Order: sequence, then C-alpha cells, then structure tokens
Amino acid sequence: MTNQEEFLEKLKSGSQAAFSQLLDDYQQKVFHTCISFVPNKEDAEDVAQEVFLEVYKSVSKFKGDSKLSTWIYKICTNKCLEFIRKKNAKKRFAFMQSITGNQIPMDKTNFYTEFNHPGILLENKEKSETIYFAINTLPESQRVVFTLAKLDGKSYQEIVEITGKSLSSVESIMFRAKKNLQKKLEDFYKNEQ
Amino acid sequence: MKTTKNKNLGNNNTLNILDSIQEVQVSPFFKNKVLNTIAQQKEVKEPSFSWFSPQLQLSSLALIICVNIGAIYYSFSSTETSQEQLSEFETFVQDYNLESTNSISIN
Repeated sequence: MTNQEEFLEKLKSGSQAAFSQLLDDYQQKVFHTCISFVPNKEDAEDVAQEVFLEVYKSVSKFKGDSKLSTWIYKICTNKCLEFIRKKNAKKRFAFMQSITGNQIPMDKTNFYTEFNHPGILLENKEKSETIYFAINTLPESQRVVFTLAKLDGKSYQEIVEITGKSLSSVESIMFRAKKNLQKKLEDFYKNEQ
Repeated sequence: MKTTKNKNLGNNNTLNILDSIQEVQVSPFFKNKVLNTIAQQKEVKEPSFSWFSPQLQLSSLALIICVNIGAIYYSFSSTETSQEQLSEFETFVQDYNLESTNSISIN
C-alpha cells in the first residue's frame, strides 16, 4: 500500500490527524483557487471552508479514480461556481426589485461581490475589476478554463483532469475565452471613450 | 488601423495585469476555523435516537406487522364466537326481562 493510499484510508476512517494534514497541504492551494474565482478574501475563505467540509463529508465516497488533489480541485471549482451563481441570482433579483420598486436603479456594472483582492496592486485595481467583470460575463466553461489557467496558474494538463475535457477542447475553449474577453474589453473601452 | 492596434495593445496590457497579481496568503486561523466547524457539525448531528439502530427499527417494524396480521386474523376467525356470544347475551336479556318494549301507549 503506497503512502497516498494509506493516507486516503486514514481520511476515510475519519482520522482527525489525517484531515489536519490534508488541511496543511491544501488550504493555501484551495484558497488560491477560490480567490481566483471570487476576488474577495472573506468570500474566498468561506468558499474554501465549504470545500473542506464537503471533502470531509464525501471522502468516504471517493473511489480513487483520480488523484486526491484533482478531486479536491473539482469540488473547489464547483463550489466557486455555485457561490457565483447564487450571488449573481441575488444581484439580478435586487436589480428587478429596483426596477419595479421605487428604489434607485443599481449600477449594472456592479459585481456579484465586493472587489477586495489583496494580491492586486492599487494602481491596477480598476483595470482588474473590469477584467473580473468581463470574465464573469463569459460562458461558464470559458470562465472556468480561463480562471484556472490564467488566474490560478494551473497547467492545461491539470485543467484537463479537473474539468474532464480533452486537451484540444481545453485549448480551444481557452482560445475562445481570450478572444471573447478581448472583444468585451474592447467594447467596454469603446463605450467609456 | 492605428487605433485598432492601439486598442489591442491596450487590451493585451489589461490582460497582462493578471500576471502581476500577487499570491494572497490564507488567514492563519483558517485551519482552526474549519476544524471547529467540523467539530460543531458533529455535535449538532449527534442524533437523539442513536440507540434506535436500523436493525432495531427493522425488527420493530416486523413486530408491528406481525401484531397487525394477528389482529386481522383473529377478528376474522372469531366471527362464529361473536355470534355465540350474541345469542348468550340475548338469552341473558330474556331471562332478566331486560328487553325494551316496542309498544308505546298513547294516553
């Protein structure tokens, strides 16, 4: 039995020490992925926490078809998308309310979360905010691939494993995502002028 | 032509900003927070009927079904006995003149 399998067995048996070890190994990586999707430190930490709770709950169901890290990143990506979906739905609902009610219509460019990414330099904040907003308008598959590759720094091979898509598919999605993003940014700056 | 080139350059520069994002460290209390939440959830999830194991549940269900079947069987099989009891009751009523009179006298 390899170390990895042994570790997995301990996790499945509910060992606190093994889970503590897992947290030590993955907390930074998972948080990094979360903050790449959700550019707000508090929200990203909340999502990362949900990821670890899900890992703890479902590790017994993990069959070992993929690497443990891939499985964790899959959960992480799904949790981030779920969070964004929920927040976007709330924003849309608030926007509809503002139209139908007497409230002042909210700014449409409002992001689903308060933009608070401590890793972004102050002078780049505005531009980064625009990019994150543009990324949020991309189709989900493009958003996932672009975020994992460009913001989280994952290799195409890792993205293939996480998303379950083929390498050529990931490459073409990435190409389309970049193209769409450039178009969106172009339109944005055109409207701004 | 020149303006399109400039715009593309501007876009590329904008996207290049993403490369300059620095790594953000997770809060030092994150691990404890997660472990505490798990411990809390464990406490909350401790079921109050933990002694009522699935085996016990199954045997209780079997017992209830048996009792019900027994009751139904008994009620159907005891039709004759109940008729005997009825006739005994009628003789008792007649013996002690407890029968109510149907005739109503009109004064």
